[in-house]
Amino acid sequence: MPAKVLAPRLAAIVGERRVLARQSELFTYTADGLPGYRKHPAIAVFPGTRDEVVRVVRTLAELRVPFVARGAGTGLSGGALADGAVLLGLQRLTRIVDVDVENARAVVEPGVVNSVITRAVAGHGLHFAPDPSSQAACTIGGNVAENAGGPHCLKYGVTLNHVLALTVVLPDGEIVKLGNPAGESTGYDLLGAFIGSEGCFGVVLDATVKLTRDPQGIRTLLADFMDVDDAARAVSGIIAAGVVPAALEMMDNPTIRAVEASVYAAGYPTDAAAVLLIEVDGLAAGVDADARRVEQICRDARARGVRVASDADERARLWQGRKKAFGAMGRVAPHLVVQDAVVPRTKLPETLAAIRAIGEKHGVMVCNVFHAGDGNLHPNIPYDATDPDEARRVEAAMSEVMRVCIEAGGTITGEHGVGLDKLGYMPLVFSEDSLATMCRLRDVFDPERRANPGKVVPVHSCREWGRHAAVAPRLADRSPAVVPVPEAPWSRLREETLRIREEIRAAIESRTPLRIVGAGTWLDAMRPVDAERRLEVRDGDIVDYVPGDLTMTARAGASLAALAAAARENGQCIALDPFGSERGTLGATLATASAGPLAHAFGTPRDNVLGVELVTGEGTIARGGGRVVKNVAGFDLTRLAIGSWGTLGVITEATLRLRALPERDATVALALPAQPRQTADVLARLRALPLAAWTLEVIDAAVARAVGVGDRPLVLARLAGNEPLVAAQERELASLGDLLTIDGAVWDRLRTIEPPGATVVRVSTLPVALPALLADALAPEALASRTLLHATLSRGVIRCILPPDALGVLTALVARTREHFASPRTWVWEKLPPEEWSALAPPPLGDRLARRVRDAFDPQRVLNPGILGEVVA
Amino acid sequence: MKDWSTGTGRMPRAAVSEPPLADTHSARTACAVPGTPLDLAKAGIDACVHCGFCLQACPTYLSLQDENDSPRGRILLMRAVVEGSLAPDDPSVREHIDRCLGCRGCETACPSGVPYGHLLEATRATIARDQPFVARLVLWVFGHEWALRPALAAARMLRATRIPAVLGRLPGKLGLAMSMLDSTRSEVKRAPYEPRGSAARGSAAILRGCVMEGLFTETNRATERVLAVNDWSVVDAPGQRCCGALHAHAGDLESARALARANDDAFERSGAETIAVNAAGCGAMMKEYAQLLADDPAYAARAAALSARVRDVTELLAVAGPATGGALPLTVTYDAPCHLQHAQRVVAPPLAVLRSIPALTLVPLVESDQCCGAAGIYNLVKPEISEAVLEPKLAHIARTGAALVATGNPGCLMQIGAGLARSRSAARTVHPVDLLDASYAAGQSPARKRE
Ligand SMILES: Cc1cc2nc3c(=O)[nH]c(=O)nc-3n(C[C@H](O)[C@H](O)[C@H](O)COP(=O)(O)OP(=O)(O)OC[C@H]3O[C@@H](n4cnc5c(N)ncnc54)[C@H](O)[C@@H]3O)c2cc1C
Ligand code: SF4
Ligand code: SF4
Repeated sequence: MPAKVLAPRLAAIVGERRVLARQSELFTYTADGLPGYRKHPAIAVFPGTRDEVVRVVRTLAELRVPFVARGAGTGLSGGALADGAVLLGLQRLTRIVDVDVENARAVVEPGVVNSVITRAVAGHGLHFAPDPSSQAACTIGGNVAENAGGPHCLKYGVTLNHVLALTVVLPDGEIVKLGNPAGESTGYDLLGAFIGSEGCFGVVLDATVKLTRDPQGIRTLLADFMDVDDAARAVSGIIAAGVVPAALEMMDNPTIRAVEASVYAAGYPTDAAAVLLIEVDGLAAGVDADARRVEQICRDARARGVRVASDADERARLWQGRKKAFGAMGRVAPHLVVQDAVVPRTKLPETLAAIRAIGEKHGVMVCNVFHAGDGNLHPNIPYDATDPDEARRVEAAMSEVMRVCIEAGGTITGEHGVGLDKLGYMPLVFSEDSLATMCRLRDVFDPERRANPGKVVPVHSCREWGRHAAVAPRLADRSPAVVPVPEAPWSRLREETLRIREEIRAAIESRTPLRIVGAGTWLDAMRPVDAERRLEVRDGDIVDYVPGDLTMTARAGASLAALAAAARENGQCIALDPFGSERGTLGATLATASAGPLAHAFGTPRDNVLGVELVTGEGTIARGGGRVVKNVAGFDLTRLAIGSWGTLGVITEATLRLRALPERDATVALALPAQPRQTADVLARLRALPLAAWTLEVIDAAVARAVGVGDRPLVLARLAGNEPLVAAQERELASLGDLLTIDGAVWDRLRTIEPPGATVVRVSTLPVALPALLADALAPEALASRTLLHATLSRGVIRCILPPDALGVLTALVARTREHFASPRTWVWEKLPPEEWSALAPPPLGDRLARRVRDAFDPQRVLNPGILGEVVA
Repeated sequence: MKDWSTGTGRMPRAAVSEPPLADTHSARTACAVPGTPLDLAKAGIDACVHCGFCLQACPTYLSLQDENDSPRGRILLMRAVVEGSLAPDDPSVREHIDRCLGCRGCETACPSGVPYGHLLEATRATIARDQPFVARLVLWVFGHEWALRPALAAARMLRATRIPAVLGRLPGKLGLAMSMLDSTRSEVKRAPYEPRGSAARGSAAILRGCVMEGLFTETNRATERVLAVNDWSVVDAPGQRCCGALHAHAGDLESARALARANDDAFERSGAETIAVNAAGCGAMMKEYAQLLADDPAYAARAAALSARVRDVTELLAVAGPATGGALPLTVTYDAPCHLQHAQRVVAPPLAVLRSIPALTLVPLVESDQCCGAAGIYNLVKPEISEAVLEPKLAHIARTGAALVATGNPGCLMQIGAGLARSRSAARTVHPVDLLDASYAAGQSPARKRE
């Protein structure tokens, strides 16, 4: 398709001025934030509205032309480079469509610059938490595509954890909505799969993002060290001590000096070997104790000095310096390579030492400025590319650095993405089969592979290429050479994984579908499965647990109780407490995306799992993610597997993020008033209270009786943290009513209140609408007498448990909520009498995209057929 | 033409054996424009790491939304010329370089210290450019004292007729020019007073400036008075010329150097210890004489010494306190001239001057560090873009509710002044020094500020 034909078609949509076809004007768009690469787009088009984007994408689809979306072009992996393709620039889509302060969310177009969101909501005490250092320039579309992180993602999570929904135009021109802005998501987590897909799955048209309340108190500390090893030990020490700083960043001496020479000079000591920039935040009452603890750890690690920012200005200056550090390095030498790798946090000291040795060996200067708290390294090398010898040495050093990180159990990118730059490294961390499975996922969204072609997954990995031969026959010939894969711990497959693969292959062969079974405690959940044969997931070993890393890798057959016990021995815990028996397995918890009260603070399984091993319905063993806390390498098979109810693959292993047990852990109960109106009022006030509770669960009188804490509706709260923090929260809660301290064993009892044969349903809504609905449902004359009812306030989710003989009540419940509840709501049925499913619950696999996922991963429908309500093939 | 069906292009080769950098890092070849100012400025281009932090600081990028009209894009175009990927006379290069306001907002956003203003001048001096007639005329007039004086006198006469006030309502360049001229009428009425000071701070010569002396005569006199009040002895520097900024920004470095030499002579002759400048653009230029004449053996050292003595008038006043005057119950907002904020990096002193005035309410202006679109003669050459850049500024000003917008540069005074008048706003522009002067007049004999 020559540009001559394409340009007028595009100009008809966006206007002449917004189509660039002259080489000289396209030159600017040959580079992104990683200027080592230059790729020439054939044409560039800049739509100004979402509608224009859709029309452009549809035109490109019609003409079968490949394209690359581009936001601000600050990506550091060459992701937004268009080599002969159409460059689709989105920087003109800068509208903030909606800000909903009540529900703490905003809808923004993809070209909105990250920091603009925070500026727009600053007056409301809210902010957008993901804060990549490039936040003053990069766009939300780019953040979503790269699953961007930032200094504060240590505590607050990455982009994935802050996007509620997306509107996306698929490469074929179809508009789809992913996620659910007004309640729980149902069906496959395609939102999770999309985030981090590096522009290969479609174009973001708008994003509904979560806004985070500004912390009440902030302490920013600058600790300086005369020795990098000491600083690295301080980092490991802080993590291991269980303090969760909001951010924990390290800069070494060359970096400090570059910053201090720039307009962003922050007052870092230029003679320090390294500084740590550490921020603790949260409720005012808790931050001082945390800050003191951090300071002590730093001093114990031989910090020369620890300085606390005295005011907001100084704090801002300290952060500006850090955030502009990479840019400041431009002054050191004419060229710069930027790396991005992650290692387990306990390996930081030895990895930094190894990197230094590599730098010395090759005679290059490695500057480190990185997210130390996550183990996310950015070794950067300033050099002169016009000196071929130096360039060669830099390259050699960089590959060695990568190898060291991978061998330490890390990964090849924590936040910058694979793009073009890391393509060659992918086979070092993912097997051929994993890469092929990622290609499968890509094909679900973009079967023609026209969106950002040639990025993320090396094309030779797409074994199934033959199927698409008609579209792009030559891609396969251009395979890069196969890289020798070092013997990594995960490259050895366990017997049990192989056995499961054999069983699945046999099932495919004989067309006998399988019912996947863990401990068998929850087989009555979801729709009946149309399979006789059982596939049992038995292996329950803990594969790898280094407490200092706060990560644990276990086989899927492990019971949650066993994992929790292992963690507890080390003063840690897993943030998974789904309702049901403690014998329930890790695999089942993830497959069903089951969450309990702890989800209030720590999110659901998708927010707590770092990687999975999975045997797909095609009998392929694939891995997604990894074992480190930050990882954006490859397409997200982890999110895809979580909540798929086994229909895409059998989860055989997973790596979890752990939490440190707090200094004090108190469970308190707040009595709710008898009158529904007052209840709504108290709950609304509760939402506004400054709390940092681990759980905040509302229970009705029946549940209170069942767990033995009286017989009136209560709010159960688990207050955890340092002493002053817990005390302050107790005071806050006491301002709303009577508060009693109860035994923490109540949480275990709460998990097992449902009687056998019960019907269980979850209703969810916008957080702001929840108190009213809940108050209504808690009213004595309502359903409470027949129903067990509890709710997780921050998630906007009410869970209703009906005794077996109460189906009539159920119908009333449905009618009642429909009548009383004008705002959007979502029903998620956990358990229903088999015959009721078709009447009450529409299958979550209703849409085309979800069916395509199922087709791609389990084309023969051998895994849990029927459980999600799809037609059995 | 590329093969559309594949679209993958060259893959970086496998990692460990052959890392991906090898075949993609552009090994830089020799300069394609050897010996040009751009060649000499190459190191500045290399300092750009392409991080993009400057994008949101660039007024032309924000209003045109094309990266070709951004600092990063323009630097890449410069690089393309240096590398020979694009010809120096390529029309796209010229167009996007022409569209640059030269506001240097990108410089104060750049962590890597890219000397953008310098690169811009070097580029303009290197690439072939057909200046539009207006631009050539203006530069020529400003370069020739005998033509400039009568031109400014004519402008003053025209202004006195109040015709510009009427014509200023017309659309287009004529209306804009008339409105700009009208906006130079002094806004601040004040009674004459006798400036009394100790002269203890030493001697200061004032750069009169062409536009300042021609159209803002009253501001120049006010500058002399407020400096005297604040203990400077003001001396004359006869023979001084236009500072040369307009020429330098347009890439006419030779004319700029000639003017710089003349000024060097004049100010040296005056014997003043300090050179006070009340026009941000001129001040920035004079502070950069050192660079401009660095390669001139006869002048390099003298220019460096001169540059080191140049101060914006508000810097001098802020150092002195400044002395407190009488009450001026006005609501004022402040807009930072780019050449003060970004080029000279003088941020706090003008605010300190305004805050020192009793009863004056200073309302902060959102994005006061963004360019107003005046940019020398840019507003006459590219009125559409200039207007697009000014638009958000006017909206922000309206939101402050201020009656006066203080700013210390003639171009900005006229651009914003005309914009306000043409959008029927009641607000007017004023130089901060005029406000301080009025405050002194109101207090008659200003109280000395006690240490
Ligand atoms: C100085 C500096 C510091 C940085 N610090 C961090 C950091 O701390 N953390 C971090 O995570 N990253 C960091 N980055 C990397 C980069 O800023 C992020 O990856 C950012 O998310 C990219 O956003 P962008 O708008 O520039 O995207 P681009 O570079 O334009 O594009 C990146 C990718 O997103 C795709 N894309 C863009 N828009 C869309 C859309 N609307 N729909 C679908 N796909 C789209 C593109 O195709 C491409 O694959 C840094 C970069 C720089 C230069
Ligand atoms: S901020 Fe500086 S280094 Fe970064 S792109 Fe702009 S000019 Fe280049
Ligand atoms: S000088 Fe001003 S207009 Fe020109 S590139 Fe820099 S910020 Fe943009």
